[in-house]
Amino acid sequence: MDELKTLIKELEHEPPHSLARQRLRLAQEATAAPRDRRWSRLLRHNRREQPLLSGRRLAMGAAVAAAVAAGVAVPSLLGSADPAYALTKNQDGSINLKIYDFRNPEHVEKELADWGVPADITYLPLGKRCGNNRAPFLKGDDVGATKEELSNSDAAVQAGLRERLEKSSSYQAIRPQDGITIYPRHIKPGQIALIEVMENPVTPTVERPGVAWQFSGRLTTGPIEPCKVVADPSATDIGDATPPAGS
Amino acid sequence: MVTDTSPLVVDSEIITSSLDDPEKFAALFDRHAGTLYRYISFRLGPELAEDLVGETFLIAFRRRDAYDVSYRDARPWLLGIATKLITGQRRTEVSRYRALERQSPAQPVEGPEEAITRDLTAQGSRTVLLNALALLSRGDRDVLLLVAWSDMTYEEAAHALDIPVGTVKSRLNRARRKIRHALGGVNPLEGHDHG
Repeated sequence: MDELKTLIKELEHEPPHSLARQRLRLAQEATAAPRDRRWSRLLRHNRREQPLLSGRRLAMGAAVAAAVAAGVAVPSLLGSADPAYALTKNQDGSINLKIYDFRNPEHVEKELADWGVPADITYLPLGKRCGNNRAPFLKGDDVGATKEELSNSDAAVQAGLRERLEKSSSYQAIRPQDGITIYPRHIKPGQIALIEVMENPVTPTVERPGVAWQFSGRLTTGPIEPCKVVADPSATDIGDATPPAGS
Repeated sequence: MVTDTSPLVVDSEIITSSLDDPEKFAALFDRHAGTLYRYISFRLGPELAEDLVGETFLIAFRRRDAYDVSYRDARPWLLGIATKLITGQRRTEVSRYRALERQSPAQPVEGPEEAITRDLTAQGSRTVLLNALALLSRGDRDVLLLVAWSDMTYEEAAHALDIPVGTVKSRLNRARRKIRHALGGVNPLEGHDHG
């Protein structure tokens, strides 16, 4: 392949001084966006309040209906008058998590661990997020999205992005279906489900629509750092986001 | 801005430190922008190369939190991003090879017979090679040119392009076979009369 090497040498150019302009472009972006959140926003699932599923009572009803359909309901916190959450195991092996009250995430973690799912769960009010990355990202989560794709509002581009996102390792394991549904078969040994749930203290209504709650979930191999809570002004932005499948 | 470009600091450390201090990422530009420019300019020409170098670093910057720090050298990662951008411009790339192919070969001037023959051989190989590159599928071309240009290992190429190592090997084998076939199947003394 000497001919190819010769051709390469012949066709390549020496970098010009004007390349400094591109360095400036990078420096401007680095200065303006101390921490880029565009990517993690894609891994976060906004839940818009749907009239048919609004309110915790109705959400609980949906959980019961789903459990009946699956036929192997395993209600958690049996005997509790005020369950903070419900975990149900579906016939396909997936585990559905519904949160009714944003307290005691460690109980959810423990019960998930009993079912073989190592999880790290954080509850935050809507409008806050963890400002640190907390844990390493999985290679299988990089869908190679470009700046143009991320900022492009064209439905086809967004649909393409979502399709790629849905093939990511984390999405396979933690999906925004019927609340949060975890697929243990997509969690490899050593991986941890890192879930952050943000709840809006004000329940949105049809008249005043908004985000009821949102969560971000991904897999990591750890170690996981504690959440450093920061403000997230984009949290209430419902924009023209397409509701995720299953909502 | 003063950035540390000491080779003692490996690329992965620059990337890690840029998570807390984003401006440190510029050190990676200082190290590798020239390399990326050479690679992109060879495939797409100098007109597009400059902008795509900038684009490559912007994408890398935005994805820096997903960087696998077990790779101390960031070049395969950066070249992989650049390759994907080049793939998006594949029509430009193929047109470039076609245009170069059409350029009339330099007329050999008077000289020793061996020198004339050597020039014609080189010219014939060049034309055939450009034609073969234009005909390769984009996946095969990406792997072939990335590996030929950078001398990276199969494993690094797989990491750069985010494809399995087996795919790198099979694409490389197929591309090399086609190039060898093209080069071997030409009579260089008759192969230069295109266009």
